[in-house]
Amino acid sequence: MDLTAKSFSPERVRTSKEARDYLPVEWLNNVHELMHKPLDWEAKDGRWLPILSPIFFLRGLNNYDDNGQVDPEAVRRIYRAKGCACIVPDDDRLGEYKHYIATVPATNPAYGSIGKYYLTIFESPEMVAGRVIWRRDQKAFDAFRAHLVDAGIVVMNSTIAELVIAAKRESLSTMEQVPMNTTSKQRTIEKLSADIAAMEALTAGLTKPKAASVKRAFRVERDTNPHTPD
Amino acid sequence: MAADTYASLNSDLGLAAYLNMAFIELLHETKDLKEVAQYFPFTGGAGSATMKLRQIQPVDAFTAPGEDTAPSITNLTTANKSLTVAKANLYRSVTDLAFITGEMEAQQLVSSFAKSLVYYRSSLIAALGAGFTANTAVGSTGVALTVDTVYAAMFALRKALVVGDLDFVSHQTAITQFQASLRGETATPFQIAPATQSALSTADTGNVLFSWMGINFRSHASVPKIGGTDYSGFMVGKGAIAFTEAPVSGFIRQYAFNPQTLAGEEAIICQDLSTEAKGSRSWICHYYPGVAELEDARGVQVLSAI
Repeated sequence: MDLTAKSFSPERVRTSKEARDYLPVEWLNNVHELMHKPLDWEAKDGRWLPILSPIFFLRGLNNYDDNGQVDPEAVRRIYRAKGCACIVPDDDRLGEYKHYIATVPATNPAYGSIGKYYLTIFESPEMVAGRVIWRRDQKAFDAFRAHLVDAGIVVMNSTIAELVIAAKRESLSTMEQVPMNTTSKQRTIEKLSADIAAMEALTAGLTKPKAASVKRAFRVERDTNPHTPD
Repeated sequence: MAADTYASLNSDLGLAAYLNMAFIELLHETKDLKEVAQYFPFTGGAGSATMKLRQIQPVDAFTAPGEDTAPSITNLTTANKSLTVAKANLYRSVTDLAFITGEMEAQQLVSSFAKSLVYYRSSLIAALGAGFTANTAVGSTGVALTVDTVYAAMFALRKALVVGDLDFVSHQTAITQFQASLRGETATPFQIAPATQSALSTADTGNVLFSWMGINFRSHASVPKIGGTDYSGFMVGKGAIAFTEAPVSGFIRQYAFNPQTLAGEEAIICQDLSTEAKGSRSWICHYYPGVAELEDARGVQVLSAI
């Protein structure tokens, strides 16, 4: 046991379940972490920021209960094998964002179940008139995402930027062939164009991948006799 | 004297209300997503909770050596995926007095188990949508699902060589956003296309809400909400997701517990007699599912605003 000096926040003893505030949700989710898919990026406020996705840990899903006991690594291995960066909550490199997953007491009113709802420390749901308003401290979340890049937990380089921009260009090219009969489509084109411009402006400062990185460089050799099979 | 009336007699001779014996179900999620996943039978007694699925790439390039030259050997491209089953259960206990007074019936509990099992299985499948990586996610954070986004997902899968019918799964909110977008497609040929009309008019009757352009649209309440701004839905072709259920019927035959134990193919429902001393009856439903991604490139994540 760690006996380092700590302070504790007392929680009031509740007399009944009803006395506690429960967040009404449609699904009592299980614990999850965030991961980063290698090509999910956005340009925001003059920086490349990773777009993060959740990994869910549910017994029976993606071998979470491998070998008869819960094993987060069994799930993380699946995503790492696909080139994703798993953002493990107790990674010391996260600094002030270490243990970024939090919970709130929650209930699923339709099923009468009570438990926890897992979310990130950047979210603060609010209940108004029986409805849940989901709020996220976007500034803090963006700072967290920037920290992931600075700490080297997720990697951006010029090759990744090229691929991300190429995908955006393809989306724009597809949209440009669609009749502009709704405001939504016009906005999509404007956003794609703005995204591409912002991304291109950020490519200059990116590091080129080193030769010894995951990406391999291929040497081009002249084929002096192309009609002879290898 | 005035005649005796319902109101005057009711307090001594009647009841304020009598009980209609029907159980009327409150609103709940009824959809089953199992058809989205490919089912693999699980072999009991084979020594592991994990089943290994073998994958092989059948197409390789032919070599074209000279007429008098031996060809080089082309090795097979293979892969494998694991599918691990784990226990899930639902436990209910009702006192004898609740049964004696007719407030509860055992078949209600059993029916509830079956429906809850379908919900749980579907929630496992719905949770996989955020994990597709090979195809870049479509849709934008905080933006409603549109016809263009659905096309983008379809194009991504077709480019990845996914053939045949596709399945789209998201929260019901996303489905209505898509219908609103379809409604806004003012180009006449599009608006009167039978597929569009069907998508806009079909009442929700089963697991598939409607089919549009070869895509089966499905919804589920458990589709994860991510970042407080979006639903993480997905579109897949056949073979993207694998699921299995450890069969319990053979197990029950081999180790027959007590006559109150029932087993379907997938789940055990048993009455727990240990609560007899309390004067209550307990039922527990055990279920052993396994769900996993089978081939990443057969699926794409589809984001839409909550």
